[in-house]
Amino acid sequence: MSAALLLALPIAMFALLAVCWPLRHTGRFAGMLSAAVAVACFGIAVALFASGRSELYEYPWLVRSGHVIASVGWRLDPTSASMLIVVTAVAACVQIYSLGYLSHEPPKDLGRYFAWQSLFIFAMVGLVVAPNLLQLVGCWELVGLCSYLLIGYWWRKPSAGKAAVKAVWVTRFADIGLMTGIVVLYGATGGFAWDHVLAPQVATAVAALLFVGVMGKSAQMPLHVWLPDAMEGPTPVSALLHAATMVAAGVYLVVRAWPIFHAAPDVLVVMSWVGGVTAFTAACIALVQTDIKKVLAYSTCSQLGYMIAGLGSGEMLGGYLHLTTHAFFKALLFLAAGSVIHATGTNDIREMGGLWRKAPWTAGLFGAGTLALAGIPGFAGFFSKDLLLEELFEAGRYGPLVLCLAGAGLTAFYMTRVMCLVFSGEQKERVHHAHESPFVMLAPMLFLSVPAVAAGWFAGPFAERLGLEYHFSVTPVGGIATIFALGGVGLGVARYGIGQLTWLAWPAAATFLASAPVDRLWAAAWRQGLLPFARAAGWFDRYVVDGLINLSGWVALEGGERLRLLQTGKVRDYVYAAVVGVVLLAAWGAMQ
Amino acid sequence: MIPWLSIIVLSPLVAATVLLFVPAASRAVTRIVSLAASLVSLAGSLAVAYAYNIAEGGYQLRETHVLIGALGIRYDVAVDGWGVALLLLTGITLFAGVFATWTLEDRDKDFYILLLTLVAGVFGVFVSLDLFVLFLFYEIAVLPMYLLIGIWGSTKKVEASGPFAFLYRKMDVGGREYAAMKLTLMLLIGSAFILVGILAMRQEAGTFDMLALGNAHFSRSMQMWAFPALWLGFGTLAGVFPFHTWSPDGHAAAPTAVSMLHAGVLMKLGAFGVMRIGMVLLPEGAQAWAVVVGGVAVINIVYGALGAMSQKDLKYVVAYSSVSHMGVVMLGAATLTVNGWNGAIFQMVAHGLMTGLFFALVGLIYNRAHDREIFRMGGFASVMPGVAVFFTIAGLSSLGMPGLAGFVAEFLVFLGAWEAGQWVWALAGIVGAWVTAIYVLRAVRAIFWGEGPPERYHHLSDAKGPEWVALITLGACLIAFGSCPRLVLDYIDVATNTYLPMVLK
Repeated sequence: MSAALLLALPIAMFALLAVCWPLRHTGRFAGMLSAAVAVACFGIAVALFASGRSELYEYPWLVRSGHVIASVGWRLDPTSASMLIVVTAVAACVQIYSLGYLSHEPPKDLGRYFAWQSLFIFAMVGLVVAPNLLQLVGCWELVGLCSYLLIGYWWRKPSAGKAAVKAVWVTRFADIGLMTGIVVLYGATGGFAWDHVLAPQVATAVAALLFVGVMGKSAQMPLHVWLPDAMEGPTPVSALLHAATMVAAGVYLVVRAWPIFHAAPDVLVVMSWVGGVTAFTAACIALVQTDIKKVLAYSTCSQLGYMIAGLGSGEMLGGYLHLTTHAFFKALLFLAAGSVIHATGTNDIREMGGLWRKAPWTAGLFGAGTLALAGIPGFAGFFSKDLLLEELFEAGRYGPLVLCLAGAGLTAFYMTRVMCLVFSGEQKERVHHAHESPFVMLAPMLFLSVPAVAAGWFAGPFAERLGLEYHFSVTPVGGIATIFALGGVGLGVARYGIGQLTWLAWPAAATFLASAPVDRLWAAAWRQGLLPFARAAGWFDRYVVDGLINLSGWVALEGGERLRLLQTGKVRDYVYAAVVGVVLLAAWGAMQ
Repeated sequence: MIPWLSIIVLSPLVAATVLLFVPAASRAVTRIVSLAASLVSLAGSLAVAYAYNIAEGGYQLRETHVLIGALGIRYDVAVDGWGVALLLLTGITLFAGVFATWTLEDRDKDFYILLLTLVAGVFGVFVSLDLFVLFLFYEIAVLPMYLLIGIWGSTKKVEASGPFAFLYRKMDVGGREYAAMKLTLMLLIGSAFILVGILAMRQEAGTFDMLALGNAHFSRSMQMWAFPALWLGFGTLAGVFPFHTWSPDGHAAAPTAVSMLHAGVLMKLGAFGVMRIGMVLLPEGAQAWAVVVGGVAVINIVYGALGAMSQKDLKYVVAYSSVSHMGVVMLGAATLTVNGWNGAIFQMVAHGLMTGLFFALVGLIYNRAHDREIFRMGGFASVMPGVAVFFTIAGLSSLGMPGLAGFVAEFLVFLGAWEAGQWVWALAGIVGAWVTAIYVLRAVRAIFWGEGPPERYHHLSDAKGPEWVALITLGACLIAFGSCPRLVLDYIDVATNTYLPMVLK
């Protein structure tokens, strides 16, 4: 058994569903097959991780005069093996869940959905096991493609189409940096390996350029604008791509290319600030969202900010650990949110309330996810966030640290708000007809809730596997973070659960940010910048470049018309012309 | 030994001759003869690829016959690595083109005669070693276009405005006769430049033989003016700015198979000429002018992409994207690096397949909807899902999605640009790919996504029988060459390694 299977199975599944349309059009059966493959992949990933072995296989993909420019293949090491578990576990859960969540879809569409899900597993596994940056970037684009296709799953809906296209435009804009980065890396080292020792300036340039790509994919300010829109896709897609795995690819890239980033301290400082600002502002925006998926989307931005800030401290473990724990609890939260939406038929949390009586399992699972995300001691998110903040403190990055700490309080507050508005209080009209989700949806959530609660307890062995050290200890920073988290929960319960503290209006900052000034800035750049520029180019081409060519054609035509008049057909005129010619020639001859 | 190259070159000509004697009414015979010719050429291209020994390199499968002894003009054909790749491209595109126009009814016999003649010219250019014969083939490839567009083309009036509007009305801009005339005249002016360049080489070296010319030493002063002459001459066909404007009008007016072959294959003749004749035979000129060639290529890439973004007519969008993508070819050529040149030739193949697929699809949509205005369409995926899938594949290849051929080509060119020390070129190319993503996905969304198509489009149907063959052939090749680039890259690389040292010596 090897990592090759993890690549071969999903791509074979995709090819089968893509080519064999009768199978695809069965819908549900195709979905079950695809889900079975996903589960098998999870099994293989666990076995590979348990065996603890390393593999490296490279096939020369691009060759130039005998030597290899780029290879493709797989590299199995503790980092990729652990990430594989995260990816396949969430993917398998999401696919099983989708069987229930999308059960009312037309069979054709369902088959298409699962074909793309399989393609996504292939692309994401390819990204995780990439032996070099070129394959990583290649698969990075492929997961972007899956994101485009899956956001646009309901392609008849205009808003879904817009969101899908926007996601590609923004992330590919960031990829200008990423592509340039690997071109520069090739120029410096003649390859795409990330463990070459680079000169400091080169390392800084490469790391900075790669980080631009990371900002796009991992939705960092100000390139986060595509992620909330991406919620147009089906909720399981949001859970898998836009919360747990694909958006974390940016963070994973930093973890993989750690030697490059580690050699670029300036870039690390920028990273921790970008991460800190994202963590705080996205949390602010999440405070005032009324769409349950949008709350979680901004929360994802915010948590990705934590990871980036953590990596910016110069230590890898905190950010990476947070990636893994976040993948589990955020996927759980999204699936639970999907269950809520499935039950009530709306995304708007103001129309919900008292749902816990109708859907107790969902309420409990959402609650578990909330506690993990809020960083309540004992739950998974607590350990990783604590470690990450500690690293920031040790590195002396106090600015980002303060932003992250404030964000921790806000996180607890907005999640408590959602919990209270959705599950407690009076039952609104929508909730009267609500029902608990079927087992096929609850089972994956139950499965995910285990690591969402307990993953943090294994941080020590996890770190050991990566060759790093981790010991939990109570520190002042952790203490403050815990107080903030508990305080956030307390205030949230007081405000939304009990209905006290109504004076706790939205801070001006949250309201302002929620009006999406960054969004508007980008939209203006598009409408008032790029589009007119393109139109100007089109006009210039039609009327200036082409105009000159038409002018020459016109001159030829008109000139011909005029010259035609010389051919009068009268002998007299021709004799005149001949005489004038003879005289001129004679004069010329005389002058010689 | 089977003379594969002659078979490839002559089979379209033979078929065209046979068609002359087929009654115009017998549609089936016309189709079968054309298809047979395209199959023979395709099989021949595959046989050449199989027979070509990569380890050995150089020119292989050579056949020589003296044509005009006194002038030293010979029918001298052989194939190198670049030739193998481009023969494959031409064979595949012709094969797909015949299927894509399977349903043509208007004077179809004449159409296929001209089309096959044109393709014979293309094959001839890629394999000729004698510059005179090469030029002859070049003209054979270019001239039928005039009739093909003028007779079977489509007219779409341009609403001219502004101070020069009178010019546009006078010239009948947008008409198919206008497009045919403009294309032919511009390319013929280019031919004049090429002829001057070729004669200058003959004057100094006393031969038309490319192999001998490769070893000749041309004076620097001659190279300095002859190279730009060849660059502009061939470059006009490759869509080099500012001599690209025949392309949008020409491609928009041309019938489906003609657009496919013209954008897919003929434009490559230009780029091939610039590289194989201009750069390899005139190395000093090439080195001196490389910066200019690259700079103009950058304009092509970005300006072409912006032009495509500004268009509302689907054919114009695709035509401008060709201008942009041919810029990538010229950029790769200008880098004078192995990666850049490999990328340039690979881009010729990738773009040929991609744009062939694009034009096949555009023709298919136009045949059904009788409209090319992107923003008047919408929701077409419900009525033509197959077309939507292949359009998306072509679009993804053009925006550089890994796994499809376009990515490999563009990426190699970017690497080459960086190695050449021109970071602006690399950056411009990457930005161009981003702009491509904008206009391609915008078009995909406007045409195929959204709520069901407008009422008048409900009757539209998906691709049918023979059309599927065209779409699947081109789409499958894009995927195959993109995921296993060495299928063609190994051929390209061996030729690049022969020629680049000749330029850099």
